[in-house]
Amino acid sequence: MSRERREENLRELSARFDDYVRANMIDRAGPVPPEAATLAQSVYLAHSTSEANFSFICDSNRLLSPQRLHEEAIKTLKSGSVEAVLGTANAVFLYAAPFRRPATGCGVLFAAGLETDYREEGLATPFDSGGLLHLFTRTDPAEAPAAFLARHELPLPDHRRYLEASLSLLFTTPLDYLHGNDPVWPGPIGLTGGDRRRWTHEVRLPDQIYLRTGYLQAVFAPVSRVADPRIYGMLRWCEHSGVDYVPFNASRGDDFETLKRECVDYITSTIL
Amino acid sequence: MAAPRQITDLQIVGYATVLKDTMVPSIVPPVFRLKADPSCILFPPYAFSGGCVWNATEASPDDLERLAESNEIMRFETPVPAQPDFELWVDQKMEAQYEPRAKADETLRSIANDSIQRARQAFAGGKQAEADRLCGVALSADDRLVEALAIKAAIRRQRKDAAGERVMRKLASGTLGSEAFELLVADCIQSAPGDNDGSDLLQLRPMYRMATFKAQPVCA
Repeated sequence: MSRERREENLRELSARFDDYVRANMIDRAGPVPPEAATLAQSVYLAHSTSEANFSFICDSNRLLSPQRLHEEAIKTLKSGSVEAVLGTANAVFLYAAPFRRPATGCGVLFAAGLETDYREEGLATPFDSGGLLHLFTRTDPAEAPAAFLARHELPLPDHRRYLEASLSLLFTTPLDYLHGNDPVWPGPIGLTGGDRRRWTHEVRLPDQIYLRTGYLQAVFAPVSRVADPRIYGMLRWCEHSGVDYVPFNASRGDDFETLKRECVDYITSTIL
Repeated sequence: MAAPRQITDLQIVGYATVLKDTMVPSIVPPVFRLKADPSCILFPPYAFSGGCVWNATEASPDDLERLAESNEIMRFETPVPAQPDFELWVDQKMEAQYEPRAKADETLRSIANDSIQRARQAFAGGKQAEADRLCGVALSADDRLVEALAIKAAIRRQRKDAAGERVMRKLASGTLGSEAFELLVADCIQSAPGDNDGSDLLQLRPMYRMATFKAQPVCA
């Protein structure tokens, strides 16, 4: 899909948003909270995964798309997989939000500026694309998930304008997006069910992303994982290079909750 | 989010992470399914209270399959009945253990303490790589054992790896202040060959610093 088409999608979605706001007489009392603009413009790009996967990522220095994993004989891309069905197999998946994928223990944040390097090839959707197949319910089940997805693919970094409008009007406070609290108003997209990934912006970048670059904002890992030489190597590189890393104690099996909380705290302290 | 579920109504079908042999022993969060409805899978995050699992993320067997294929979760070949106040952990042979929490805690604490003791001895004997590995085992079992981080820091100081030493200090900072940590590192260095008066404090002086521990009554 061309950038022009994605820009057209954004115009259409913004028009639907305006209609939705008018139809529901949504009007924020008082000025637009400044956090909405700050958060929308600067929120980092997040990727989290299991400890074993993270060790591999640290060693390879790359986040790989399912297609790339397949081509390098690391993991087979099955024809029935979500990514194959939706045509997203060539993408690396990130959230413009804190870590949202449950049951993950380690993660990385990239600066929002990474999106400008992918203006032509990258894109965003105002929901998790994978959730269309297994997590969310669409208002028109007759429409193919891939077609629904295509209508909502937005340009980088302009999707953040839509994010700002959502934060300003759909949520009680923009911080609810950060904390993962549902919006008061669901918005015009028409998805129900699932979890907070239903309204979290997903950013898809092509093929592979290198970790050790100027865009790497922070690395999150449990203290215990310093025992893994690959993860330790990444933390040491961060220390040496002046990149933030956030170790946390999480030895009771509640790693994701701790990871999420540490990420929200980090975003709050560095952006807001 | 799912409704609260009685733990005794659940089976464990796997755990919600994938570990390497450099990450064990480690407590892991179970992935449950309903005994009465095996199509209902419960993922973390969730909370345990009053014999129930609360606020789990409810998912389908398809999700379980996808996450297993993505190397995000580990599946069991045979489901295990869930029990209240039990802990799931992965041992050093990469085998899952499910046992009463108190027993699991005791076992992990014992592994951590034993590993630290052996790490001290290895470090004092100049076996840095072995000491480093044993500290990793201790940290996997109990990530608040700052002594393991202190030994790792001491190893890096000996190697003149300043960045590596700073990593260990930062990792310890959630549990111990920097001055206290520095004392621990210095204490480790004192025990190393070539960096002290030549005595191996741990091997040659087994009662070294024992008096600092609280005295126990000799008879009832």
